[in-house]
Amino acid sequence: MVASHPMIELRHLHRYFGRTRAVNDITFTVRRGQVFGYIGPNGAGKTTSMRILATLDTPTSGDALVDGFSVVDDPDRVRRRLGFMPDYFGVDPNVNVREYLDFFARAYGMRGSERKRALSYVMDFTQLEGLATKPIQGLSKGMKQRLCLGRTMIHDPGVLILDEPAAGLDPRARIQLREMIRRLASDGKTILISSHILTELAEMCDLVGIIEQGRMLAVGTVHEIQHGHSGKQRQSWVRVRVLGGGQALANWASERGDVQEILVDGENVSFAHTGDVESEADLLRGMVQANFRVASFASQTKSLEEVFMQVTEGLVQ
Amino acid sequence: MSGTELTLTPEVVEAPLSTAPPTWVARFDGWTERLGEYLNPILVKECRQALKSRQFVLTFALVLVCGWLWSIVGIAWLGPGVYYRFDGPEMFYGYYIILAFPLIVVVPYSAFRSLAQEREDRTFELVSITTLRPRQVIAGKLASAIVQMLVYLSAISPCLTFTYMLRGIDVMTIVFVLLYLTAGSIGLSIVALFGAAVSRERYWQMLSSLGLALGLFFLFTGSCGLAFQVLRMQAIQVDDPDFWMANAAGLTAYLSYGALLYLAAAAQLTFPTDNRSTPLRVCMLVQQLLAIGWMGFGVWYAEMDGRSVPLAMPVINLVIASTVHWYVMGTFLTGESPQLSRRVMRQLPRSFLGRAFLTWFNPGPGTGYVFAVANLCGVVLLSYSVLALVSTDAMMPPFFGVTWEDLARFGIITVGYAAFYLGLGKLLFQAMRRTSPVTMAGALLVQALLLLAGAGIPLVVQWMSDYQDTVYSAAHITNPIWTIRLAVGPMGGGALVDWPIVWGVAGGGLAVFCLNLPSVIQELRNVRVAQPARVAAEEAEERARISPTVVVPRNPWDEGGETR
Ligand SMILES: Nc1ncnc2c1ncn2[C@@H]1O[C@H](COP(=O)(O)OP(=O)(O)OP(=O)(O)O)[C@@H](O)[C@H]1O
Ligand SMILES: [Mg+2]
Repeated sequence: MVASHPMIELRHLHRYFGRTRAVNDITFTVRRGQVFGYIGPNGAGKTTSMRILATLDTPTSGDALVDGFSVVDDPDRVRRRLGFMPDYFGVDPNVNVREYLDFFARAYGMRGSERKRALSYVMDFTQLEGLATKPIQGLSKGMKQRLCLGRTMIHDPGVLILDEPAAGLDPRARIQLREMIRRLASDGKTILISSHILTELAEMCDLVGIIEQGRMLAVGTVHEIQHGHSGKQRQSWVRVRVLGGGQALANWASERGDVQEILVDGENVSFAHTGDVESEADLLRGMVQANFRVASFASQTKSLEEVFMQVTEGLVQ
Repeated sequence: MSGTELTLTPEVVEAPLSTAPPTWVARFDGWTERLGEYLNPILVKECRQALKSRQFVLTFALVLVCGWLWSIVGIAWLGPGVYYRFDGPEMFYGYYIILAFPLIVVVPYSAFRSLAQEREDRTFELVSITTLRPRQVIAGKLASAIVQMLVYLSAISPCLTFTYMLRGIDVMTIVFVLLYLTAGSIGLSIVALFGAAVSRERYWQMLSSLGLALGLFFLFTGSCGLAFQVLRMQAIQVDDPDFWMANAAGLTAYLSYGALLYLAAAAQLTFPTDNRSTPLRVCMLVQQLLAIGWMGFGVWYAEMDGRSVPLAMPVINLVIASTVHWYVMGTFLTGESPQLSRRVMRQLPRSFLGRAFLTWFNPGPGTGYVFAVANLCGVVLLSYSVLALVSTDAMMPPFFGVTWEDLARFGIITVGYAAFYLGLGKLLFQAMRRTSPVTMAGALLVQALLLLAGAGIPLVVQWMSDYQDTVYSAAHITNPIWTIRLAVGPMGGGALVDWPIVWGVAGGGLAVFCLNLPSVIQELRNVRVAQPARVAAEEAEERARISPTVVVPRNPWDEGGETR
């Protein structure tokens, strides 16, 4: 069954704290099974809008819907189908990993064998089985993140809201987390995940939204964000290695209109090239036809960091 | 002791017992596990935590050690007298103090802390977005307080048996003193939980934590004094019907206020668009009806018994208690926000009768104001009617000094004051709300200041002029406490308030009531909004799950066809 409504929908969401406009007119939708990456610098309003979605805060105006239910009017219905992983970890003293998850399973109304199944599934999924009897005060950051994710999915919610789940994880744990999120998405979960780092999300998100100062600056697929952003022409950075010295190539290239910022470093020449992949291929053919001995030709689109820096302005309110 | 221990540690059952072969263990195991399934999740978690917490273990050990020490000291002190003297009460009193400290101070305070701590650790947010209802949260916290209580009680219970064997104290005294202590502890725990639910910001939390600790300690010393009196005067008289009457009436008040606080605490934890007011209003009304019922029963009972009680006194006391009740409740109700959430508007009454009678249960300051004043009015009329019905002609005049005229003045004045002060407060909140939201604490503060101004300003003016001693005059018409006291007269000695003052109060109340009418009417204009289609669809689905098939007979005789 395919639901006709989006699983997550923000409608002109506003949230002010005094004069700070933490969330300022944000609108977007996420469909079932999509992973939406929410990216922005510190203080952009990511946590604030996620907390509203998780029914922990109420918007100043506007509304947010989860599976068609308003977080303002029907938070009880939203809670049943939503898992929220905050950017902090609330530690209960004197509780071990299994008891912690068991409590939340009970709190979501799971009884008997249903709860046992959910518990063992989640412990297996997050690889917490070896830690079942470990007191949670004694967990490391990465273990806590996994436990937190486990708690978020204990009641098998259709929508997961994850606030910077990768913060403080080592590279291996990051990859594991990415794997987990991919698996969740392939199970049909709708996921909203936030981060400061665009590259981190690029590989697992279907959609990315860049937010700053409470405003959504750009929404689209990673590809769209990277290339088609703000209607400018695609620009790539080309590095060429020419055997026998690069100066001649630099001279040749400087006569073309689509090449700027030429740098020569021995056999290596690099320059900015404006145009699509087709014109890049033509450029290479031209070099070869002009009898340059091209040993390597590498084109790099602007890195995601650069896009991010360009889109956001580093403004903090 | 075993009973309590077993319910609180389901995980104990999971681990070590599962290897034990005997079948009764297995059966017991299964039984406790099934029981554990239906226990409140908060209770299960808190008990697991509490058993490992240092505070609990320490208090428990301390209670045990103190109990044994007192036993040893007591026996040494009594010496051989143990065999022929009646030293039960003395020993019991010692145990009472040992038990009262954890029950009156430690248990309620740790109930407060357990909720406040969850707010500080931010674990409460995680709990609040589960499908646990706020009432379950409060009930779970309360239940774990009760479990702690039972553990302390069971720790000291062997000692209590010992006091009985010392003679001089009967079983009923022991049982009732412990019952009162336990009931007091539970009641204080509800108060503590309410306090923790209300105080959200850190400074409020600090303040209420301090206030609670001081208050609990004060109550502890008070209860020790009270217990001493009860034991000395042998006040537990189970043969006396009045004893049971008083207990039943006390229990009614205890339960009803307990329920009110419980609902209020839960209302503090629910999400802001939820209807926080209607359950509380229903509770307040039930409470009021119970009070009137008890008053009527009491008067009837006294008369049946042939006792000559001043019949007007219970009525006057009831009206005074109700005035305080509705004044405090009215303060909270008039402090509510006038904006109804869409969620609340979905449930507004639609029919004519519903709109006429049920509208007053809807959230909102206007409906709350009318609700409080109308209820107080109802109490006066109803209790006067009861009085008129019950009192035989012979007893009618003069009610030991109080005439019907006095009662009439008294009734008009109380309702008038309530309408005046609550209405004035409501107008003030309305003005304040233009600039900033009005909180519950803010509403309470404004009302208290209003009352203080009304009572204080004429007094100050009088003191500053050359009057030496303070006498009541028409200038004190804004002082409700003094005026009402004089209206009843000292111990029913007849009214000292003249009719002009009565009419003045009534006029003031009426004027303020009328000033409030526009906003009340505004609130009455709210009409039900339709449920969103998504909600309606899910509700229909839920209903279908509860009663999956509505059997539609295929022909008039098709009713199952099992019987041939
Ligand atoms: N409770 C609050 N009271 C006052 N201001 C707040 C509150 N919560 C957030 N803000 C403000 O709202 C803005 C957005 O904060 P938010 O936590 O949503 O940012 P974020 O995108 O999650 O940042 P980070 O990447 O640092 O987590 C900030 O300017 C912050 O100061
Ligand atoms: Mg954040």
